[in-house]
Amino acid sequence: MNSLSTVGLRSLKLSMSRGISTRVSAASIASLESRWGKLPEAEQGAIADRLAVAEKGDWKNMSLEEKRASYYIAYGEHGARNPKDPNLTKAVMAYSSVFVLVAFGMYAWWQTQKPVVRTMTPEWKAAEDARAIELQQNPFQGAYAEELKKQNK
Amino acid sequence: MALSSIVPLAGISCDYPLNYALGFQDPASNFMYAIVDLHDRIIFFLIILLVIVAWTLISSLLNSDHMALLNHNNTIELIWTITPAGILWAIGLPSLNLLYLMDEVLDAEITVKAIGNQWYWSYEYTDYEAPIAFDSFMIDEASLEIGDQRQLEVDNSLVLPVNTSIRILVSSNDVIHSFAIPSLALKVDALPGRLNSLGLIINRPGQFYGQCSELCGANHGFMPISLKAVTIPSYINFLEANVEA
Repeated sequence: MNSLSTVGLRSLKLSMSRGISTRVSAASIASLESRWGKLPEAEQGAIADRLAVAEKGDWKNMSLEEKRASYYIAYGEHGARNPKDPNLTKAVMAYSSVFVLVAFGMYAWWQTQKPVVRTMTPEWKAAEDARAIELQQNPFQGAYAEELKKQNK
Repeated sequence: MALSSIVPLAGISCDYPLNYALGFQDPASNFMYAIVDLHDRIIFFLIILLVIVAWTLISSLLNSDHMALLNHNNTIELIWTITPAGILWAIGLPSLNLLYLMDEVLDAEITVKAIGNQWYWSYEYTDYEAPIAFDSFMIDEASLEIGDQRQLEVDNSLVLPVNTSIRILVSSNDVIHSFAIPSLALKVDALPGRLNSLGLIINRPGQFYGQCSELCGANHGFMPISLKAVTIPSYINFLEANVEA
């Protein structure tokens, strides 16, 4: 059973014994930060694998560009570390507000379509309050309670 | 002639729910006063908890480093296990106390039966030689007079005296209903084939409303309960008038 690291280590030893350079080509990792997002996934994988093989050896043998590229692949602002879209909050708030306003508008229109209940007019409410005061209804809350407060003042 | 019209209305206060009200209806029995008091005690603890939880939540949202100091600590874990248990005891014990106090019917002097039907209530006073029985239907909106309560007014109210220990036996002729009057802290299911008992002492004269509280069919929302609490002389007048009628 050969794991990827075992294969990588074996190829490293093999290439060292044969005198083959293990370093990644400078062209493939030049300005990696700006190009990484546009590279196809297969090439990203290939560059990462070659750099992983180089990292397994002595880091002093890695060029500055290789180290920079390795660091960017591991910790750079891509993938899970992508910076948050600065307009995201505003966009969410804007779309949510639009939908809420539409829903409220639909509700308000529907309320106007419902028939008026005759017991929910201001005149009926005034008659209820007058009866409440006359018959001492709701002595703690409501119209009679306010009347009591005025009398006690 | 409606039975309840025999009882004079002078000096009777009526309690009904207010539009957009947030709290309880005005209490008219000691049990309701006790429930409101218990509610206030529980709200005291709940507000403290709400402040603590809201503070913790908002500070963790605003402080980006809050995870840095979240380490293992036995003391705080002990505190936040024992404190909620203590709070639950403080809430639960008075609640159970009141629950069992309310369960007693204290030597009732009057027994009334409230029987649920689809979709009206029947009341029976069978303590007397000439039993009184009548049905109580909701007055429909078209027949209301100005100032009446929609979906609460009935043609015949249940009439009971104040400051008297009353037993209400609740049952049903068909499906399950529920006899409920919020001002008097009354709510009990009316089950066919079963008698449920409620104890009641009303503190002040008035007319108190409730509504059927168990889904019972198409007109479940249109079978209100109206209880007219009157002074004892007025109650005796009511009984005598019914006997004559």
